[in-house]
Amino acid sequence: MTDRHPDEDLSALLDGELDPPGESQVRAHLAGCSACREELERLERARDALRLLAPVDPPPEIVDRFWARIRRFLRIVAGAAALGGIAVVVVLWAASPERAVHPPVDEVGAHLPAFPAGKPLPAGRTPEGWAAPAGLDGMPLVSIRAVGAMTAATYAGGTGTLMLLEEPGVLEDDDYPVVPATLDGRQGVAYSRAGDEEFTWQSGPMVMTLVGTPGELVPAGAALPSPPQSRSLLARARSLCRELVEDLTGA
Amino acid sequence: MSRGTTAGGSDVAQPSDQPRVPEWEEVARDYGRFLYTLAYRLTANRADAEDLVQETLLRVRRGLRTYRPGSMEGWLTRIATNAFIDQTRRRRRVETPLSDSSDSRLPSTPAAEDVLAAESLSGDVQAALMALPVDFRVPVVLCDVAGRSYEEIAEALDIPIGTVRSRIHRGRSQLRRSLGGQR
Repeated sequence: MTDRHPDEDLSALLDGELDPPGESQVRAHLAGCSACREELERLERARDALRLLAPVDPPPEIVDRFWARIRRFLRIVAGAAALGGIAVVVVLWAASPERAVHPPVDEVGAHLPAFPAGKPLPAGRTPEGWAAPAGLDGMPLVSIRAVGAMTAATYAGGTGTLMLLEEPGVLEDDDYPVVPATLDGRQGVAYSRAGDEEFTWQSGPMVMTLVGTPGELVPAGAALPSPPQSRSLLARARSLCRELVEDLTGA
Repeated sequence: MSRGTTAGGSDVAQPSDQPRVPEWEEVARDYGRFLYTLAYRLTANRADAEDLVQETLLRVRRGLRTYRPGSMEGWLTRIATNAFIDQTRRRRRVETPLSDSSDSRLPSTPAAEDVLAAESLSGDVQAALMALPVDFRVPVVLCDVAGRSYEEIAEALDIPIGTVRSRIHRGRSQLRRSLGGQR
């Protein structure tokens, strides 16, 4: 036993990561093996070279810039989350006659009507039995479709479109670098980007997303152009969210 | 669960014995130096270290609700490590893979201040560290800079403890070969 060179056990010994029998075995070997004793010394020096490195203090101006960026980021994201949540609440549940003044449709909004047509579902009912409301905030249900594993209900009215998306999956925290939000008692995340307001939450095994897009409506029955990519809207929203963060945190 | 808003300065007794979950601002203030040092040892580049700390703190902010009082440094190390690995993966997609060739001894386009700092702060050790492949560098830094146990490192990296042990040893062996000539 003790004539086998302990190799990686030498590092573990240095780190106090051997159990007592393992440790006495290695020590017994060391007593009779000068090569391993020298190796242990060299490893210890390498470890100490790192351990003894001083903590790195960023120069003060970098600290200031860093905190300013953090604060700016948090303010913007918090603001975006609040805007998303509030705007969606206004559009969806509060039958308020006062509507937010919507910014013009931008390239993100323009993508929404290009959402793949999918397979129409009968009677507003998804395969999972979830019943899409017949109307949201006075907007009638225009279509309900199955797009891959996702179900998309579209509502359209004079002020824009709402899409309610349902997709099996788990909302991964890391995909949403935004502060959490609450919508009508649901815990989720919300953000707003370039005119779209979005709120996503976990509902049992499903991820639900509500997207509000102000702007002109797609004429009923119009042929929908192909989507630029086959990625789901949810995936697109996630990457948009990442871009948002990168925009904000980039140099 | 309800937050029980106590308007104004609360002299309501805190439930005793219950370790308090720190505020995000406290974490940022009290552990900023720890995180920055860890990030700098992983990236060897002030701009990247700053990005990494920032991303870590953002994740901390979202995760504080689920934090169970324990080793704050261990928890932060885990988050920072995941953020670093994510960043590395993202970069690998667009850049050439990290290699242990001499090209990677210095970070890409280091600012003058980085070069100065690296020289004054044991630049040879940092350079030797950066010459390690990421798979070795991360466990070595977590062990020797962040002071984490093998078990914590295994958990942070989601690899078996035996792999941690072997990577630390191989990383350290390479380090001592890089540094050996100077002794």
